[in-house]
Parts: sequence; structure tokens; C-alpha cells
Amino acid sequence: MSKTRPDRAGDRTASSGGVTQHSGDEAGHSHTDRKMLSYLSRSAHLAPALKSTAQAVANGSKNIIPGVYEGVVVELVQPSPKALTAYTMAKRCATGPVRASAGIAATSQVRYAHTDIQVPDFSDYRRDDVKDSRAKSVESASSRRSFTYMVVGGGVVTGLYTAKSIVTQFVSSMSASADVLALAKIEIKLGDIPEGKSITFKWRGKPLFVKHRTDEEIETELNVDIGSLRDPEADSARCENPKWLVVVGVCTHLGCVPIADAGDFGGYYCPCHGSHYDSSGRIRKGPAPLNLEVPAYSFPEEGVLLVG
Amino acid sequence: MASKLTKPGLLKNVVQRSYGAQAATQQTSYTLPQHQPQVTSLPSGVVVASQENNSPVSRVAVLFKAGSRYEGPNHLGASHMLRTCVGLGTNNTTAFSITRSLQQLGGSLEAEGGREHILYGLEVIRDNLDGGLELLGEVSTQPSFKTWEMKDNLRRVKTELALREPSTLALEMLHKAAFRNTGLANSIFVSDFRLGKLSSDMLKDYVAQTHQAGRMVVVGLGVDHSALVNYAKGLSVGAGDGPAGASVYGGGELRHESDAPISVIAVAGSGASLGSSDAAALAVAQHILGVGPSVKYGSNASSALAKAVAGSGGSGMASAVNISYSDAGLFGYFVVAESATADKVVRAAHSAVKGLKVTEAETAKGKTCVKAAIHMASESSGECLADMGLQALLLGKYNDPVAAAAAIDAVTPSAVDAALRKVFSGKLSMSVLGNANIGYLDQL
Repeated sequence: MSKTRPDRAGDRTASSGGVTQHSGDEAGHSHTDRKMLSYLSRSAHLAPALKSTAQAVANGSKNIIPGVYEGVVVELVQPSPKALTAYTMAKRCATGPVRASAGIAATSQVRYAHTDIQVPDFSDYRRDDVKDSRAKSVESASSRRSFTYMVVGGGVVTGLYTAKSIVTQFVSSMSASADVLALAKIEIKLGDIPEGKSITFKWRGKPLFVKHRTDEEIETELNVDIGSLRDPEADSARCENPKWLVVVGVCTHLGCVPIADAGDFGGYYCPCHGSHYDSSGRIRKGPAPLNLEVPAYSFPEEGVLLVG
Repeated sequence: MASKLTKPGLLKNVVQRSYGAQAATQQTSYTLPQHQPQVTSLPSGVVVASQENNSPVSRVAVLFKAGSRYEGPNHLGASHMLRTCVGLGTNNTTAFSITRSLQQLGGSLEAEGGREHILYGLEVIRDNLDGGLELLGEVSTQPSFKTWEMKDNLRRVKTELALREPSTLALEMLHKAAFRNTGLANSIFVSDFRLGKLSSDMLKDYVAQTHQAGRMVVVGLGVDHSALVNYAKGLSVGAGDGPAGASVYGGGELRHESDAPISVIAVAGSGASLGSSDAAALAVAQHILGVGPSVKYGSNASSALAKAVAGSGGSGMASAVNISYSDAGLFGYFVVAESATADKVVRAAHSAVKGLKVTEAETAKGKTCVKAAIHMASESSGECLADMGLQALLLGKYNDPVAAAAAIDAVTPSAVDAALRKVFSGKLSMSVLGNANIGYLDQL
């Protein structure tokens, strides 16, 4: 904040008085009246009141009055009223005494209107239907509403689907891995198995018996009385294709592996406790309670067996 | 909590609904009983006036002779500060408590100030009158003028000062010119240079001097008179006389130059005081001269002043001013005109007023207009209350509108003429805001 303004070329500084400097300016007048007047006007008491001087180009040797700092002044000014007709002028004509009133939040309240706040222009985000301030909003209300509902409804459905997919992906990562699943199936070429022979494969950690049955064996099994079996099961229920018997080679008694082409019934014989199975894998004699388990299998192609 | 008034009864709604469910009695018409106003003067000097008007809203006002004419040289501007400080903290309550309680009661509080009076007015739902009166008593008799509240109030006062219209300023200047250095010249607004200088001690001193029993009046509309008398007895105010506020009419001129497009000029002479014999005649004269249009977008073209102004060649409007105080008055005319042609308008108005010929027909018309104005003013309960209060304060009695209209009936054209001559034969006062090229009083 500067208290005085520095002299610059072009500045006008006002000085009043300065009587002593001006004594040389005016040429001496011979007329006594003028001398009296000029003396009076130059006297130190009256000069400041009778005249005032403004320096056009300052030379630094005359006094300058201290400068003025122009700060920001907020003035409350009532603009002059506009009265252009006799009626409006008459409304401003007084007819009685002035009485002023004030109250709590009634008359004469100070309200701070922040006119420097600028409301941003949101027209980029507004719908075209309602951009016109003269358009009635009820006319476009149903179309706007249905658009909103469809977008939101579709978004919700998509979101739910996405959420479900993500959750199931994470949860199913805890199930069996691919290498384990790969070992869950076995493909067997049936052409390699001669008739009457039973081949053992390792499947899911268990022995798998695949027997190529002869016609006599099939005949024998079909004629067995199912009522006499400990675990009654028809041969057609156990073999999809009668020529092929596919069973899990685990004895149902205590889990030993039966031997093929052994026992009294032309099928399998478990040496641990003496269980006899026939060529359909059904228990005939011995301590085992159930027939040999038949896994899920299929013949995807001619001469190929897929188990698991 | 801010107040105890917010606890609703649990069964209140149920009970009221049951009342509503009762069958309404069959009635063809029903008129409410009419009541007369009642005035009681207490031995302490307090005057109590009230009238029952069957309104669901009760209005009570406490008035004191604490207008600007009673401001001594130490207290210039105190009446304005007092008026704007209404509702701020008192000795026993806070501003917040007053505001909140009143809002919950369904009431409002305001202060009105003039040159001779200050009026603390309360409007509240009739059922909640007791709570409201308690707050009114606090606000009117026990203001505490806390320094921080006064400081916050300054901005509001500055805004009020800035919001004054030129017409208001012209009237203030007219009083200053007319009454010069006596009481009635004091403006009802505080001067700029006195704004920060009125401390709370000065204001408390002013209140102690002017808020006294002998200078107090309690008025009510829609209240029981005996209850109001008891209330007035319970208000704690000092006893004494207080400042006299003497005023003498002098006459003079005051001008304020500006480049506003509209100039405002007021010219007046010493008029009738309240209750004097000339008061009714000057009221009729005022309405003969014209008080402005009573029809929207009209111009009151039949009045003397309007005709004169229309024929003056200038653009403006004039009305007659009639102000009465308890011991003095002002009567004259008020001109609002475009600055360029204001001089012509003022000269035309002046000659119209000075040369007014009062005929029988005009007097009859003026009397009808005055009576209509009196009755139409009584349509507003707020106006009624203020009128009752001022009459009780300044005259000690109350004339209801019917009695006032009867007094107007007795005016004759010669009385009007005589009153006008008396006003304009004495020294006149003039105030001008705007164009200073308007002729001075001796040039008009």
C-alpha cells in the first residue's frame, strides 16, 4: 500500500496553496487595484479558498499532497427510481407522515444474493425434449420415462448376468482341475480285444474290466433266473451292447480285485474271500453283497468305447 | 430445547377429529356479536385500549413516546437503532429463543417507529396469546443491546439507509427545514456519521428515559380488555416524565442536488396538530387538492393539483401532504416530476394551492373522500391497531372511525378556506431532491 503516488510524466497532481512559489509567476501590475486584488488573492489565509492549482507536468520541487490509495469500496447505492407515467409518479407522492417498520425476518432483512455464482451450463447432458424452456414437460414425460426404464432394466439384467458369471467363475475354480478331469474318461479301441478275453484298464484309480463276450456266454446270462440272484439285475440292464461287458473291477465285499476267467460261473473270482461273479458281473456265490459296479459308458463310434 | 411449546398432545388429533365428526347444527345465518372499544387509564399513567373483533388472530401493541423527537443530542439516531434491534437478545431471553418461540406459536413481531412513537406489535394466533405476550413484554421493556449483536446489526441498518426512496428523503428534509433545530426535525433514520457511535450504554440510557409508565400505551385487537389491563399492570417500566421533545415550527429550505432523472419536491407550511379545530378542515382540503389515484393506472384527473400539473406543460404528478403531530403539523404539497421540467410543475402546483377556490361541491366531495379513506384504512387490522395506539398515546382517548367520520361531517367550505389561508400566510418550508434549478420559495 503506497501512501504517495510517485511523480510520472503526464500525472496531474493537485496542490492548493503554494503561495510562495507563485509570487514570481505573475508579472507586476502597475494598477493599484489589481495589485491589491492580486495581493489579497495571494495572501496565505484566503488563497486556498479562492483558487486551486493543478500541476500538469510536475517538476518535483513543488509540494504534492499525499496520494490516495484507492481500495475496493463496496457501496450500497439505491438506484434512482424510474417513474415515467403520471401514475407511477403519483405512487411516489407522499400524503402523510413517514413511519418505518422493522421486524424479525419480516421487513428490512438483509439477504445475501450471491450473484457471482455461475450456474454451469448442463445442456450437453440434457435431453433434447426438455431443452426448450417453453416446451411442456408432461408431453415428453412418458417417452423419457420408458427410455429410462428400458435402459435401467437392461442394465440391471446385464449386471446381474455379469455378476453371476464372475461369481460362478470364482466358485468353480475350487472344483476339480483340468488334469484331473482329463483323467476322468478313458477311450478304448475295441478292436484290440479278442473274443472271450477280459482286459483290465486303469481308470480313475480303479481297475476297469472290459470283456468281449462270446455268444454262449451271452446266451447263458440271458437264461439266468433273476429271482435267484442275491442282487437281482437283468443282463440287458447291465450291458448296453451284449457283446461287451464293462464293469469296475472292485469286489463289492471288501474291495479286492477279482481275477478274470475264474470261478464257478465263467466270470470273475475274488481270491480274498471267495466271491464268484458271472460273466455279467453279478454276484453268485461268496460273501459279496452286490454286483460289480457298471460305470457310465458309451460307444461314440464304431469300435470305440468311452467310459466316464 | 429452544422452547417448551413443541410437545404435541398424543390425543389432540383424535379429540379434534371426534368434534368434527359431530353433526353440524342446521343454521341459516349467523352473525358474530359486535363489540365496542374500551379505554382504561391506569393510575401509573399507562393507557390501555382494546377492542374485540372476533378475529382468529390477536394483535397487541405496546407503544412508547420514544420517537425521534425525544432524542437528545447524545442520542441522535437512537430511535432507529431501537427499532432495528427489536427481536435481539433481551435480559431474560436470546434472539434465537424469541424468533423460534414466536414462529412455533404462529406469531410475528415488528417494531414501527415514527417521529413521536415507537410501536412494538405482536400478531399471534388467539390460542397462543399468553406465550406471545410474554415475549412482547420482554422485547419492549427489557432490551439488552448486546455489543456483538449491535455490531452485526450495523450492516442491516446500512442496507436500510441505502434502501430509502427519494420521497422518504424529501419528507425527512422537509421536517428538517421546517422544524430546524427542535425535536421534530430529528430524522427517524440514523445519520451515516452516527452509525457506529451509538453504544449499548447510550441505547439503554435512551430506553430508560423514554420507556416509562407515563409515556406508555398498551392496545389490543381481538383480546379481552380485563386480561390486557392485567398484562399492562404486570409490565415493569420506570416511572417518570422523560424528555419533552419540544418543537417549534420555523420554516426554511433544504436542497440536495443530484442528477437523478426524477426530482422530488416538498413544500409545506405549519399545519394542524392532532385534535385541533383545523385538523378536520385540513383533511378535507387535502382531499380536495388530491392525494393520488384511487383507480389502478388512473391519475385522479379531477383533483385540483392533477389538473394544474396537467396544464403546466411539464411531466410530473403532485399530491397534498397533511401531517399532524401532537403539538405541531405540516400541510402542503408534494411533487414528483422529471428533472428537466420540474420547475414548471412546481410553479403550477404552487399557484393551484395558493389560488384554490373552495366551493360547496368540492367540499362535499372532499368530505366524502376523507370519510371513505378513514373507513378503508380501518379495513386493515394492523392499521387499526396502530391508529388506536397513536390516538391513545398522543391524545389519551380513542375515537373510532365512526366518530372520526362524524367529526368530518361538521366541516364547512369557509372553515376549509380559512384553514388554507392560515397555512399559506405563514412561513413555508421547502425541500428539493434532484434538480436544483427549481425556484426558491420567494420566487414561486
